[in-house]
Amino acid sequence: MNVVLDDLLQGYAGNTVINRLSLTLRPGVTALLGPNGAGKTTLLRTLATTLPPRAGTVSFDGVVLEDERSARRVRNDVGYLPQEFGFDPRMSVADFVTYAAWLRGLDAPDRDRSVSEALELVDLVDRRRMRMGKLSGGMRRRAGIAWAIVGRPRLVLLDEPTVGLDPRQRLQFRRIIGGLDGSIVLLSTHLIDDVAAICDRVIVLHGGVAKFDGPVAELESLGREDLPGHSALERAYMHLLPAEEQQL
Amino acid sequence: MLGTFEAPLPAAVEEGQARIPIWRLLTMAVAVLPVLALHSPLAELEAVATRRFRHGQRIYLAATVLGSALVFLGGAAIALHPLVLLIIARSWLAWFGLALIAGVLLGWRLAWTLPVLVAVILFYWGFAAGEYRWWEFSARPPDDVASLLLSLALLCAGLIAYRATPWRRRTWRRWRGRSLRPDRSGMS
Amino acid sequence: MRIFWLHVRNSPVRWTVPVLVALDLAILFLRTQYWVGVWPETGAAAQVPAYLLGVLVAGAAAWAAAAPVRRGMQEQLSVAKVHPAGVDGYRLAATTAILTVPYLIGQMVAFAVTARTFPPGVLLWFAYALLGLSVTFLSVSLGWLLGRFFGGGFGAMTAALGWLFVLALTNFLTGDFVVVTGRPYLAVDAFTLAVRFGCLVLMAVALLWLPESGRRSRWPGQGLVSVASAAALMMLAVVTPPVTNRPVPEGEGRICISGRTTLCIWQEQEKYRPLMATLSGRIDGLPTAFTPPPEVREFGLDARHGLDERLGVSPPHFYILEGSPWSYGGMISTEIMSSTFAWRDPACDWGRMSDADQLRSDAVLAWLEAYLVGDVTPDYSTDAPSAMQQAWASGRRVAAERPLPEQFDWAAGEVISIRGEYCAKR
Repeated sequence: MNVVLDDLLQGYAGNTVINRLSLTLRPGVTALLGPNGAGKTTLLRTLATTLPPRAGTVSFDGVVLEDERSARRVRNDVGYLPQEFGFDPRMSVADFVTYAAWLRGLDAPDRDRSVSEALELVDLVDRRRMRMGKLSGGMRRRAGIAWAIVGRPRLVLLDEPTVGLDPRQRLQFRRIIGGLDGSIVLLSTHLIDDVAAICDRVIVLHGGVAKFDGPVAELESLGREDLPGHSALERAYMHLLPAEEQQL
Repeated sequence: MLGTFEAPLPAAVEEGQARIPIWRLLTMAVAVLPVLALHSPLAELEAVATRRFRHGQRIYLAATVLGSALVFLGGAAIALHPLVLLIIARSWLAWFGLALIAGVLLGWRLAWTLPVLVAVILFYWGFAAGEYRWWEFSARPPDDVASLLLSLALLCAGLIAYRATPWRRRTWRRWRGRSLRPDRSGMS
Repeated sequence: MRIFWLHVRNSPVRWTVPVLVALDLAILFLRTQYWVGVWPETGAAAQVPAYLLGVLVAGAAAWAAAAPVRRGMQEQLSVAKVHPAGVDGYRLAATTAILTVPYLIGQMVAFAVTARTFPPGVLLWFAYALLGLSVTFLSVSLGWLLGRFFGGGFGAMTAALGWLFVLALTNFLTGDFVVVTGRPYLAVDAFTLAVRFGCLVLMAVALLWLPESGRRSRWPGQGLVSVASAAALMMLAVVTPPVTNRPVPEGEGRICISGRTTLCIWQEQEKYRPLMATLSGRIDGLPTAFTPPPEVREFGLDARHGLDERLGVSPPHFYILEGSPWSYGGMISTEIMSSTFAWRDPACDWGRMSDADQLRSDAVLAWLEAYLVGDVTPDYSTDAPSAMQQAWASGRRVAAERPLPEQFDWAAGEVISIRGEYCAKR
C-alpha cells in the first residue's frame, strides 16, 4: 500500500496549518517530528480521513479521497490513536479492543482472532477482563495502541503514543511497533530516542512545511556541533529550525 | 403562563389519573439547574485547590441559586396566585437539597436523578383520600408545617452532603468513633 | 448479536434497571389490585408505569446518547468504517433494550398473576402491553433526541422534564394519550398501534441521522431535517387515540345472571360472577314495592349505551370501576330507583316534588345502595350539598342499625308513600 499527499493544504478557520505538503508514505516506520503547532496532529487527522483537505489530494493506493464515501471505504485500513483518546472506564480491555475491531469493519470470525492478536502484541492478554479505568497509565496507552492496530490496518497513525510511559514501557512500545511488518506506521513524537530506535524515515514539519523528509541517518548527518543537543539527531533537528529558534 | 398547563399523569387515586400543573415541574428544574452547573471538566485539578476555590464555588452556587429562584418566582408572581408562590418556595428548598444529595453521591451531572425519582413518587402516591399526604411538599397547602419541615430537612441534608468533603467525613467518623468508645479514664 | 451484547454490557444506563424494576412493580402493586383476574385491566394497569417511568427513562436515554461526548471518544468514532448511523444504531438499540426491560418485567409479572385463573380476553392484555411498549419507546426516543442535542447532565434533565411537557402537550391536543384503565368496553385501537410503531420506527431512523455532536453535518440541513422529522413523527404518534369502543358481543361474549333483574357483565369480567350472583340475590329479596328493571347490563353490552340519557334512550347500565362494589351497586340501585319511581311516567307529577320528599328518596337510594353492596361505608368521596349528604347518611344508618325485616318495611313504606303522593294509582 502507499499513501500519497499531493500539494495538501489544511487548516482551521482562517489559519493554514499545512502548507502545500507533498509526500508519499510506504510500508515502514516513519517519524513525524516538529515543534508544537507545526501541523503534526493536523496531518495525522487528515490521513485518518477525519479532516477533508482544503486543497490538494490524499490518495490511498491511487484512489483519491473525494467524499465521505471514499473516505469511509479506506477506514478499514486505517488505525488511528489520538494523543488524548477516550474510553469508557467500566469497559473491559477486551471489549474496548473488540469495539475498535467492529468500528473498523471486521466481521465476527476475523474479529476475535484480531483482538487476540492485538492484545498479544501489546502484552495485555492476561488483563483482557480488567476494566479500562483500573489500568495504569502505561497499560491504558497500550490498550490504546491495541485499539489502533487491531486487524492489522495497513496505515497506523499514532499521535504521541509514548507520552507518560516509563523507560521499560517505551521499550515495550518499540517492540510492538517493530511487530507491525508490512504496515505504514506514522508516528508523531517529540522523543528523539524513539526516532533513532525504531524509525526508518523521518519527516520534520515546521510551519506546515516539510523541512526534511528522508532516512534517519541522513537527518543525523545534518547536525552541527555548535548546536544544542545531546545527540546527533537532536542537533540535526535544531539545525532544521529557523535561526532564531536554534539557540535556547 | 406555561406553568398553568397541566400534565396528565397516572396517580394512585380514583379514576387513576391526576393533572400535575407544569409550575410544579418547572420549580424542580429551576432548583436542579444550579447544581448541574457545578460540574466542571477541571474537577480533578480543582480537588486540590485552596480554600479560595471552595469559597468561590459557594458564592457561585449561592448566586446561581438565588438568581434562578428570583427570576422564576418573579415570573411565577405574574402568572400564578400569591399562595402558590409560597408552595413553590417551599418545594424549591426540597428539590435543591435532593439535587445536592444526588450530585454528591453520583456526580454533579446526575444531580437530576434523585429529584426526578422523588417527583415520580410524589406525583403517583402523593394524593389520597381527598388530600395531599403530609410528605407531598410540592403540593401541600402553603401553611402546612409538616411539609415545610420536611423541605427544610432535605435542604439541610443536601447542604451537609455538599460540605462532606473526604477530610470532613474522616473527621466525623473519628468523632463518632471517639463518642462510641467506652471512657477508659480512671479504670485500674 | 455479539456487538449488540457488547453495547448492552457496557451501556451507561444498565445501573438504572434495578431501580426502574422496583419502581415499576411498586406502581403496579402498591395501590389497588383490582386488575388481577381481568385481562384488559391487567394489561392497562401494567402499562401505567410506562408513563411515570418515562420520566426517568427519557433522562437515562439522554445520558446514554451523550456518552461518546462525555467519554471523549468522538475522535475515535469519527474514523470508524462503520457508518455513523450504524454506530449510533447499536447504541440506541442497546439503550432501548435495557430501558424496556423494567416495563416488560412488570407486564410479565402482571400476566403471571392473572394467568393463575386465565379468564377470557388475553389478547386484550397483549394489546395494552404493546401500547405501553410504544410509550416506553417514545420516551427513549425523546431522551435520545435531547441527549444528542444538549449532552450530559443538562440534556438528561431536559429530557426528563421534556417527557412531562410532552404529556402536557397531549393533554392540550387530545386529552386521551395517557391510558390508566382497561375497561372491558374499550380496547386498544389496532390502527393507532400500527401508526405509533410505524412512527417510532421512522423516528429511530431520523434519530440515527442526527449529526455527530461537534461535527459538521454530512449534508446541509441534516440536523434540522432530522430534528424536524423526529418531532413531527412524535407528535403524530401521540395524537392518535389509543383506545376505542369495542363492538357489542353476542352470546358467549357476556355473562348473565338471571333473577328479578338479569345482570349481564362482559365475559372478561368473569371474576365478578360470584359478586353479581350475590347482588342478584339481594335484588330478588327486595320488597315488592320496588320494581327493578328486567335487565341491567354492564356498560358497552348494548349498542345504545352512552347515548343521550336525557332522552331516555340509553337502557339501564352500570360500570365496574376498579373492582369497587360501590361503583356497580350504586348505579344498579339508581336504575332500580328509576324503574321503581318511574321518573318519566306521565302518570306521576314529579315536577312538584318537594325538597323534603326529594331528600326522603335520596335516603332510600342510599339505603338501597348500602343493602345491595352489603356495606355501609362508601369507598368514594362526594361534594354534594350537605342536605343531600345528610339524607344519604340517614339511609345508611337504617342499613347499619336496623334488622333486615325492619329495613325492608321502612324502605317499602317510603317508596309507597312517596309514589302515592305524586303518582296516580297503578
